[in-house]
Amino acid sequence: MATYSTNEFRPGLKVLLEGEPCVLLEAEFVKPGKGQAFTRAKFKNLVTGRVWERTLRSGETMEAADVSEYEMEYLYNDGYQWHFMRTDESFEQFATDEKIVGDAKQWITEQDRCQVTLWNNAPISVSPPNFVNLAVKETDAGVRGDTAQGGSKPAILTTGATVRVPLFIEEGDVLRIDTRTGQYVGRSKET
Amino acid sequence: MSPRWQPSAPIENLQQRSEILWTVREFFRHRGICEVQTPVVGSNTVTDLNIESVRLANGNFLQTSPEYFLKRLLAAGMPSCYQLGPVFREGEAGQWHNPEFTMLEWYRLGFSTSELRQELKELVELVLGPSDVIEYTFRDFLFNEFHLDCFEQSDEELHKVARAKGYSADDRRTDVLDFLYSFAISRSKDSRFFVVDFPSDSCALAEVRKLDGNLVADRFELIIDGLEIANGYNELCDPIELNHRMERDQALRSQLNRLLIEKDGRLLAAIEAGFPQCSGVAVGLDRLVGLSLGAEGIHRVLAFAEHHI
Repeated sequence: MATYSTNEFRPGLKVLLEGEPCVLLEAEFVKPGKGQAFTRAKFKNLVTGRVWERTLRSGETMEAADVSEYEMEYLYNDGYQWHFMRTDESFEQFATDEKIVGDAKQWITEQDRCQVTLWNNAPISVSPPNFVNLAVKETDAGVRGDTAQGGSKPAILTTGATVRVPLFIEEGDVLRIDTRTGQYVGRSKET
Repeated sequence: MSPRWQPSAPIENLQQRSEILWTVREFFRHRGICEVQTPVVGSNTVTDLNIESVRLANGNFLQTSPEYFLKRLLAAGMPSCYQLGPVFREGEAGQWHNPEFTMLEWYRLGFSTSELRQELKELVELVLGPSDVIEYTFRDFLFNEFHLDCFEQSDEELHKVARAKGYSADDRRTDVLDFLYSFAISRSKDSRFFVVDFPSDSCALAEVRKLDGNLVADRFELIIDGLEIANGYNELCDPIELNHRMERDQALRSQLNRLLIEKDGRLLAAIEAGFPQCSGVAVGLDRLVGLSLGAEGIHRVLAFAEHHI
């Protein structure tokens, strides 16, 4: 297995830390004039998203993590697993479970293009497109001028996600959602 | 594509750097301290475990500080003096490290470390403006950050604290203390402070004395905005102790498979011939300039930093 020494550290490097795949966010060379040299590094755990700070002795090595990221089309959910296919003509398919799909599951619909991260050729995380279009499955009929709720109301989308929308939104409207914030952007101009 | 020929620092920064160099030289001239120039290349170098020298093909070394040459001048009767010039350290590169950098080092005959700290404070204020400078002992400094006692607590207890702060290596006690010290500096809220009375394991060439029953080195560091700016000693005058420390360094070097460095016989002979009591300090001048200009790294105050040479 390949390893990286601290003097090869650069942002974006994928390494194993405590057995988990991480991406190196930043590394700083620290050396007291009379003391030993360290590398102070920040890692993001690619599975949990948590940021870890570690200080290594300079020259220490870390094992490289076999991590890659691909654009994949979300194909379908068979009730147990979510199925994805690479969009690069390899047509290679991957299946993964609810835990890995995580928050993405409340935003994605079939044929959406997601970013899927693989570790040792198995998915470890799925990022939905930044913006998705989703129809409203259920919302109260809005009464114009009723601003007691601050001019917004909850709407349940076809994927099951709930977002706050303006009062004029009706069932069946297709909304544009920013998946990074989970917020309503506007009514979709498509469809 | 043409090679990257431009300097790493903006021209305005180099002009301001020049002003600071004038300020520094005037400071010493006013005080009647003589500027000297000693060789950048020497046939010997420091045995210090954590400082690696650049070795030339002919076996000589680029100097990591002018310390040994300046001490030989002092032994030969030179009064208080300073050197301002380039020094070299193998493998030190980063935001605030460059393998070649500028060191301002001076020695004051008859000064205690506290008198020298006062002089250093005045010089720094000429460059950066006035500010309070707090003084911590090494012991208190670590206590304030970690609630541990660097003298009383076991290796295991120190390791435990270090591991909780993300330290992954398993090292000798002094290495763990180095880590905790660096960590505490990175967390410190004081803008300017001195750390004094280091554990005697990291005495380098400072005199050692007893404080509250523990051996401490009469050594200090100046930290400004999280950067180590200066390191000073009450200089060791005892040739037997000097020889002993060099041999201790050599033993550690061989134990850790590092390059074996010969003792500098000329330095030993000079100290043996009679070395005056004095205090000396080395200042990382580029960092001081960088702080003065608000630069984001050392390369912004060096005309041509690493990767540009």
